[in-house]
Amino acid sequence: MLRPAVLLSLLLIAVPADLARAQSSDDETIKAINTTATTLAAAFEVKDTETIKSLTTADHVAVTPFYDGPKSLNEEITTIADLDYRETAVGDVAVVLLAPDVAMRTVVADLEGSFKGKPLPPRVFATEILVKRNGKWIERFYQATAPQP
Amino acid sequence: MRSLAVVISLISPVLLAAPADLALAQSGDAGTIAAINTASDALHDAFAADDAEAIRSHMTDDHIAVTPYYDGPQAVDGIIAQLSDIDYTETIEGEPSVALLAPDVALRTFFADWKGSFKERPLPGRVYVSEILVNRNGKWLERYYQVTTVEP
Repeated sequence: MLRPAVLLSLLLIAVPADLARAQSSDDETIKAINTTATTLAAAFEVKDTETIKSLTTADHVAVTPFYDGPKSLNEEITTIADLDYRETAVGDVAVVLLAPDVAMRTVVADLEGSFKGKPLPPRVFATEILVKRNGKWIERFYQATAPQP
Repeated sequence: MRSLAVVISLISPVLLAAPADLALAQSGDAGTIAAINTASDALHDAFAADDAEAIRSHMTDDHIAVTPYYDGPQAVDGIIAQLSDIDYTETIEGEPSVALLAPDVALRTFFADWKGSFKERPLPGRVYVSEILVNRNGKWLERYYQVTTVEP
């Protein structure tokens, strides 16, 4: 039987190690989430519909000030020729895990380009909800809000 | 942002049939969805009553709100501090859609028409609202709120 002092020592060693593993795991998760999000944004810039489909859920919805209401994935794809889109993140990107397989990523972004010939709002606050499916983080929901002029 | 007078739900078959709305169709069991809607309605009522403590009780401590009229994302304290600057009514179009993203995470969305002002500036008329709710200790709380102006 282990004496209390030995048990305490083992616990003190074990807890920091667990915390370190958790932190490392979180770092890897956040990195994976950011990689998906930045790859997806780049795919929209170059109109790469196959990559867009591979990084979004089938029931994906996007809400932006320039779309006429929320768009399904199919609607986003069919209108991508109308979209001239360049995005530059401004400041820090925040990633919060809402559940082990659900993350919320927020970013302030400067936009350049147009949709159906109308200029995009120059700055938006964007929220992305990503979910982990079969080990891969993909986007489920996107919403951008432009401040009132 | 919130109904400060009366929230009127208008069933709109056209909106309910929209493809994007179908994508956010109800998922999860009816009891859970009812609890989520009850929590959200209670928060709206708290805003309608300017009840700061009730508002806090229905939000997480790290709640963030993003709207076209705020000067950037607002934490709970910022929302409470600006309650007296908001004067408006909200009419929800149709039934809000609720999607469970995880057992304890839900996405609730709806269209709404707004009338009123924030710091005496007119609010956008038609908006799309999303709310992220999380279940903490058996209670659904709002974690995130975002509004986007859409074309009328």
